[in-house]
Amino acid sequence: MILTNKVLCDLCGNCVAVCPQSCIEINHYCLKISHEQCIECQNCVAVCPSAALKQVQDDKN
Amino acid sequence: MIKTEYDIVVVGGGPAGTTAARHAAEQGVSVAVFHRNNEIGAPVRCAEGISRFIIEKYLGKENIRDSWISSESDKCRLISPSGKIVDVHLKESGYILNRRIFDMDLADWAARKGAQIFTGAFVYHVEKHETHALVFIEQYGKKYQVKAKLVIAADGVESRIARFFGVKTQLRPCDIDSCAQVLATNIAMQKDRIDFWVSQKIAPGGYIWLFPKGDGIANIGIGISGQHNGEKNARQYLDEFLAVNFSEASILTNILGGVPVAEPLESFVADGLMIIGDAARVANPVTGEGIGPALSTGTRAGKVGGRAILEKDTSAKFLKAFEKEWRRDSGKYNGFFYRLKEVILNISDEELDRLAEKFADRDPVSITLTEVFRKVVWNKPKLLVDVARAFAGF
Repeated sequence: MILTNKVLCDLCGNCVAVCPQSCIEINHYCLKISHEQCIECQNCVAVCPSAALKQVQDDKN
Repeated sequence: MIKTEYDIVVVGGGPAGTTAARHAAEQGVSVAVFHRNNEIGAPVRCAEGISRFIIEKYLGKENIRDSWISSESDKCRLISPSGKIVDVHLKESGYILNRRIFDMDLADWAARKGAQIFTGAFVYHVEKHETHALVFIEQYGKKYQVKAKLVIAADGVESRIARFFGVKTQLRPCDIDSCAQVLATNIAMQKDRIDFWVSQKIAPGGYIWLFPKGDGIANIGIGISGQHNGEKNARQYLDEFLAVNFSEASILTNILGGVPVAEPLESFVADGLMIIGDAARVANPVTGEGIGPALSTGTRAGKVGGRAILEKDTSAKFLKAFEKEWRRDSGKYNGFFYRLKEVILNISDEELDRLAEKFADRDPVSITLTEVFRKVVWNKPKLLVDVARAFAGF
């Protein structure tokens, strides 16, 4: 699962630009990922200028 | 007040969107601009440079205001990995803008011509129908549904709006530069010169820039290729550079962003849709300059879009005229710049130093960008010819 660190995120939109699934959206104040559609290609992680996005193991805990 | 119907809905209130809106509104059609952020012109995700020729061409010399311009440069310095300097005198000077004021004035100009501008208005969905599109907007917790005959997507690097029309706008990570920039003061610099540091070590697949904003104050930023953004990210690379080179600087603004360094979209139109500016991937893939292309696509889209409404034909076929004209004129070198980017991306630091060496002891007045890039692509005959043409104006 891709997680967002809201402290590091500047809402620049690079992740939206490269998401093949179009499952990332930035409204006025936050970034939203639809995890059901996400294929974890990590394009968004690759282009984030501040490591605000990170892939983590799926763990309900 | 958001109405339920407009001839044209423009998504995005940057220079591309408001320029298109102005040209369309001038023809008497109804236009609304929906801008996601609460303020036009901020945050400034931009190094703010534009050629003087381009801004005069698209906005008219007589309309340019002093308040838009922070500084003017006609010199450019390239700094190699080991610190060798190549000074170049530009044939044509460039402006460093004040985007906060510039964007605001362009929006104001569009509004005075009849366009309605809405800020804090996020377009979360678009539904395409046979004769129109339904645009779904959320503004301060309230939802609106607007009917539009034509949608102009000027939503920047994200380029989400066109996807609702089935246009694939997604970029590959190698076709986007990941950027960080500061507006810093207490900077030792020359206020009529723009500086570039090129080195795979300090900015892999990209470069660091310093654009003067006035005495001792500058935009200092970095763009690195998305494919190189690995262990370290753009912000970390920039922090390290500042610590070494400008340790006394005070940082007034910190911003992150991205530049599409891609070839333009295959098509800028679909039935009832036009795509302009960064959303159409028209920024220069080598320099990253995007304001000029925003104005050149915005101007043409606004004119053709307005005519499409008046002639009741918003088919892709009719709208295509704007794209054809752009590709013939402003966009004719984008393909070349993309291929040049691919070459530059792979030059090693040793090679960059060797290139810089070739200009040692030369008078800057005699060095042109054409010559610099000719030396860069000396072993690529196909590119060599285009270098002379594409850099003729610089």
